[in-house]
Amino acid sequence: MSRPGTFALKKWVRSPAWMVAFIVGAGITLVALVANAWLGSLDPGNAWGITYGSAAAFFMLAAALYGVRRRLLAVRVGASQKWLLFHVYGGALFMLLVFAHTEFRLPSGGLNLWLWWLSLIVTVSGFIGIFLQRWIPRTLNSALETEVVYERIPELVKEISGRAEELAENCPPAVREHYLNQVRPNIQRPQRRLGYFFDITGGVRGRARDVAVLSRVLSRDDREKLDELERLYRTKLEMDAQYSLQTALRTWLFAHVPVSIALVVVVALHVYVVIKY
Amino acid sequence: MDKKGTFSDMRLGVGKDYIFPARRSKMIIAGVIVVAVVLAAYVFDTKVFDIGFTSPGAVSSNHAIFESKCELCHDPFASVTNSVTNNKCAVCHENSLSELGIYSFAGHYLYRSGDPARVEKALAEYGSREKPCAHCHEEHQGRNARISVIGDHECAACHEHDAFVGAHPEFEFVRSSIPDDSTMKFTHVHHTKLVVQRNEKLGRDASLEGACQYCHRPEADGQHFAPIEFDAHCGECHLAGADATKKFAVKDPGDPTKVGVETLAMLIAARKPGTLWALNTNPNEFKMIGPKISKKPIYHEDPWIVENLRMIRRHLYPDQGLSDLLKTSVEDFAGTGELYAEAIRTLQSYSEGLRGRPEPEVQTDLETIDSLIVAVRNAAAAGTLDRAAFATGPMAATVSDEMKSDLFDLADKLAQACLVCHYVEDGMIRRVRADQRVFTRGEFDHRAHLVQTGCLDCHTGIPITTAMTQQEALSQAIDGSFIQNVPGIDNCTQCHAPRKADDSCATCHFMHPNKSGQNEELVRSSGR
Amino acid sequence: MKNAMKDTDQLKLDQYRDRWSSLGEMSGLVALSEQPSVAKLKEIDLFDDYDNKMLEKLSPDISLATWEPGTVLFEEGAYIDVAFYVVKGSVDIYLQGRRSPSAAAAPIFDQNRTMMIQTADLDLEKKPAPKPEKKKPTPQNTIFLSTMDFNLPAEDAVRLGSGDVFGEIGAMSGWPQSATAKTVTKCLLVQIRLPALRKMRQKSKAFKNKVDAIYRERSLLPQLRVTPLLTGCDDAFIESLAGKVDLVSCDPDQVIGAEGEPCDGLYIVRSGFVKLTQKVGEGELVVSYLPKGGTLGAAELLLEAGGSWIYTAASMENSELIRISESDLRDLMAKYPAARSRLWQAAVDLVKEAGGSRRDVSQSEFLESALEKGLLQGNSILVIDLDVCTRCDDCVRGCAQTHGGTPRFLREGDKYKGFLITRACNHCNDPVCLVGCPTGAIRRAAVGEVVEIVPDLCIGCRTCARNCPYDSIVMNDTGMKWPDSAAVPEAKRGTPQVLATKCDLCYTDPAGPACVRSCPQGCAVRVGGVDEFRKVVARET
Repeated sequence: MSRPGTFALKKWVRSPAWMVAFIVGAGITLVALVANAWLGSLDPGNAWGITYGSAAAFFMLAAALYGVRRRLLAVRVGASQKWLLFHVYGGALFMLLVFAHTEFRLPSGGLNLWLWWLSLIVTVSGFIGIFLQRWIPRTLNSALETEVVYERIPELVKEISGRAEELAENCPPAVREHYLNQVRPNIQRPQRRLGYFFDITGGVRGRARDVAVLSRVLSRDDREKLDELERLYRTKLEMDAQYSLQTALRTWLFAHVPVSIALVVVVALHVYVVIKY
Repeated sequence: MDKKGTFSDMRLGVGKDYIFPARRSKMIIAGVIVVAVVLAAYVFDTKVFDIGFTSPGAVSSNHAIFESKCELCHDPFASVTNSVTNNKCAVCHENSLSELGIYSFAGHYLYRSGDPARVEKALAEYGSREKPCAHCHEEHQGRNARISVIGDHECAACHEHDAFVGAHPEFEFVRSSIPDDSTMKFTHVHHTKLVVQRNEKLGRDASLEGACQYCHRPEADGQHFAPIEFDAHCGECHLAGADATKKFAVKDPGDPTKVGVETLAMLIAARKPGTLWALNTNPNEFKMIGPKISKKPIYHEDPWIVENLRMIRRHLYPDQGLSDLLKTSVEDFAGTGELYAEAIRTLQSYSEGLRGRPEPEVQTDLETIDSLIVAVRNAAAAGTLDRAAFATGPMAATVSDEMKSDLFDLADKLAQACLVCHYVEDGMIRRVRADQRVFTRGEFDHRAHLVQTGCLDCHTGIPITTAMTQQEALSQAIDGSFIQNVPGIDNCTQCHAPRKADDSCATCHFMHPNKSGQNEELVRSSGR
Repeated sequence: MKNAMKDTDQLKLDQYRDRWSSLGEMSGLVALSEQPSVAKLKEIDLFDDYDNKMLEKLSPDISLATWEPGTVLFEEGAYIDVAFYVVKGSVDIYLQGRRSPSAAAAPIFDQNRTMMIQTADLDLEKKPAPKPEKKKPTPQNTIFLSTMDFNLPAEDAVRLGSGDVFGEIGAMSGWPQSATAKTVTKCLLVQIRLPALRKMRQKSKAFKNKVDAIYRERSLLPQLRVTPLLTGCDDAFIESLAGKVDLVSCDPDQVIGAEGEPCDGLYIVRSGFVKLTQKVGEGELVVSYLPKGGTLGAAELLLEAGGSWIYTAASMENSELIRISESDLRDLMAKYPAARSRLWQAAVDLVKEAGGSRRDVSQSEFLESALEKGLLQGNSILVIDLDVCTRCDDCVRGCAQTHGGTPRFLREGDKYKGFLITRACNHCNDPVCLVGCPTGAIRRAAVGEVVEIVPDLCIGCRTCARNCPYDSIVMNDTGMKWPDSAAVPEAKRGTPQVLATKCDLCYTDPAGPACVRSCPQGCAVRVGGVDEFRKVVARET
């Protein structure tokens, strides 16, 4: 296993075999481009250009089918992991082919410009998604004890907050004071905070230090109650961290999926227009 | 030690949203919204800004008003490779469809060659290479694109020569060695000297260039030079109008054996087509000196002299019918159609001279002339045109040998004034073949070149250069006549080369006829 | 009222029949009793020790069946939860691999092959061609055959007759049968399902002794013969040993020997797992475990006479052990020095491992976790690598879509070093959930180690869900209601039908478990056994 802190390719590249296949595909495209420039002219409308465009459309469609695959998990069409790998690498190849098709220039014309921007947004958001999908699980796993299902968080937090209330009722005034001031405002609802992206522990240890003072002046029983309260609080904060990061994992799709749906439609429109005119 | 992951040990229910998350439907709805935005942009562009949304690029400014009306140019689903069919172009660009139309492919073969037979042959052999207009004239390249400018690679699809320097053949007139023969007694060297001297004397531009341009005067478009005409270019020195003819015996209508010229009165009385010009002639130019007649002044192409020569010719060559209509001799190279073109020109010049005359006889005769013109054209179209056609009147009776020699003698005397410059054969002044367009398939613009270089820098045939001083130039030893003075391709490639002046095909050649409309003339003259 | 009673009886009979329904279409079955009455049962001497009340409780799980001669009851490798008692007739027991294959007809119990074959061979619609393969279900390095019921010479069969019991060890342990049973003559058999079997063992010492005696007679000798410790010992010695050993049955968490107390013999684990712990500091560390075939007490007895236990040994779940007394052991070591050195080796190995665990607390922790979380017991545990998991829940969704919309597990469970051990069924070696099911709805699926619940038989009693130590069984509201009929208890009629569901490893799908297939990141794996799990954790694979 690699030492923490070192950059390991293995962590970022899930499947070297697929990466190699992608590089081969990209290589073929680039060689074709060079041949194209040498033998003819770079033009989206000539035989070369239409080949790039058709290949791009094919990869886009095949990649888009991944979205359908995720809805039909019971159907036996191959492991979901292979589909995702094809989606990612096929999508990257798709963008390269789009560039080849547009001669590495911003296309002119309303529809074509929309198409180009939609493609770019889809691809870039996809790369962002890949990054998030590599980085967030590791971050979540690195320093949190709690592992919780996203949809459960509201009800679990409600339970924690209920237990904390109950506990605080039976606590001596000092602890109750501490609970009301420090803990209660933050324990009642799940909170998303950007800070968790930069520090997954969310400064919990700092907060715990605040409590250290208090524990010195309490009796043993009360100290146990305080510990329990802090445990509840810490768990809740960890859930917040989970909540924040898992929200990101879910929301980035809103940048990717709707645009890709539009992309499929606009590509179909583009193909229709090209054939018609 | 033992990390219990979940907080609670109780199995809490997880709702359907866990298995079928609502966000999935939300994303699809969001996708539909984005599609709606794109469609809204479509509608907005088309209706409000009148831009073609699906257009892959702005059309050139010529077609800009049609930008959002795709189907004015595009025929939907017409073909996999091209939906802009020629009949769409023909709606505005007339004659792009008709065979031999200006923009038609067949027209391309006819262009310059003027030979319809060439069209058929070429269509049979190369017809498959035919491409629609839109193939070369690609639109959607932006507002400022000039779609009439075509790249060399399109020409090279059919024509072998793909570069100017090194791959272009020598010019045809150089290759085929058209005889350096203007059919006139004229030398450039001699005349250049004289014109220079004269210009100097008269205070005009006394440079060599000025001498060239004294005769070779650019037309308004600057591309070509005005045809050399006697009155404009030669008349200042030659035939100033003071000369008179010799005294000639007059023809006796009662005595056919007597050799003599026809007087003005005789010509007016005769009123044959071709002599009606005589009505305009000033009788005071003729002087009777005893029984002989003389005329003063003599004009260039003096009609009285020409008519008398024609009269003599009729005696000498009774079967030369068509030449009856000619002013000068014409060597009719096969298929060039110069013979009938010259006949037409003669007849037209007669009718022009007579229009406006009130006499009814003149009108009748004009009709005759016009009908002759039509007859000649029809004969040309039908292919029945020959020298024997179109006798304009009863031929003279056969003459005796003695009379023949007298007639030849008379002809020589009549043509004496002409002999200074012209050659006379068989009683006909030999037609001058000066000032011909040497490029049959290419265009050359003199003005563009004259601003950068001098005449003699390219036309190096004359052994005088602009570098010489006048003294040196005039003292050059000169011998021989030198008419043909057009440089070969080597001269052009000095400047028109890669990374220098434009060396693309379209610089000199055109797929479709140029503004000079030479093709139009050929089309008309082919009778179609 | 009378009608209702009649209906209730009828439906009870139907339920009874359901339990034996798999026998319905078989040829070879001459007669299958209706639910035997107490009187009928009392006729059979097997049930002498039980009072009427007990017999009432037992009767739903007992049937009397008459079989044609030549019927193959079960084949090697079959998972069955039925024990057989021969009342009349004779039954041949043999190893199919050594017998001529023409003898193999389609077996009665468990239509399907029980090996881990490709499901393409598995035609669930009709009886497939039999394809015998011997399965050796062991963890570690022992070569015990799990239930070698019979002392089978190489070529021959053993013929059982009236009063003989067979199949009970397979039924109790859940391990596949290791021999084929075929009727020779027309037979009358008492067929006892597992719930009844366990009750009988508990309630009747006589029955337990009978079963143990059978084991001693049939199984123990061959098992002892192949025990590594006794390799090379002559037959006579082993035979005499077989007569003298004790058979020890342990309940879950029962302590076999406590640290510091005198050691009372050498134990060999026959089935189940034994946990070994030691006092370290203030607490108790798990230092090792013993699977089937492991020996306990070697070090203690070798080091000094009357030594005391070095470890505290406790049974993990139900386990069976053989105890060899100290004197017998001294005999053995005196006669066979090879055995002595082997024993020393085993002792040293154990001490090394234990020492390792004491030094490296994480190893101990791992062992303890593994033991507690079922990694040792489980054959197929769903482990999710949290470093890779994007929490998309497609694994759950895939399970749900494959099983009609409700998932069989949630992506929750214990975390171990960044891996989530989900509460999808582990398909234990010794499934506790099988115990106590009144209808037999929960059973081995007869393909490998898969444990499944048949929804048609389930009545929603929650026994299995409560038994499962890993919370893997989910009570699922089917959306229907219990019909308003006499067979259904009045309190339940019209209430929502909530049935037990659990992971079935998608065993009917050749593509494999849906959870693994559906994971887009490829981080869900099904791990069988501790070593595999170790590898996964170390990310060696």
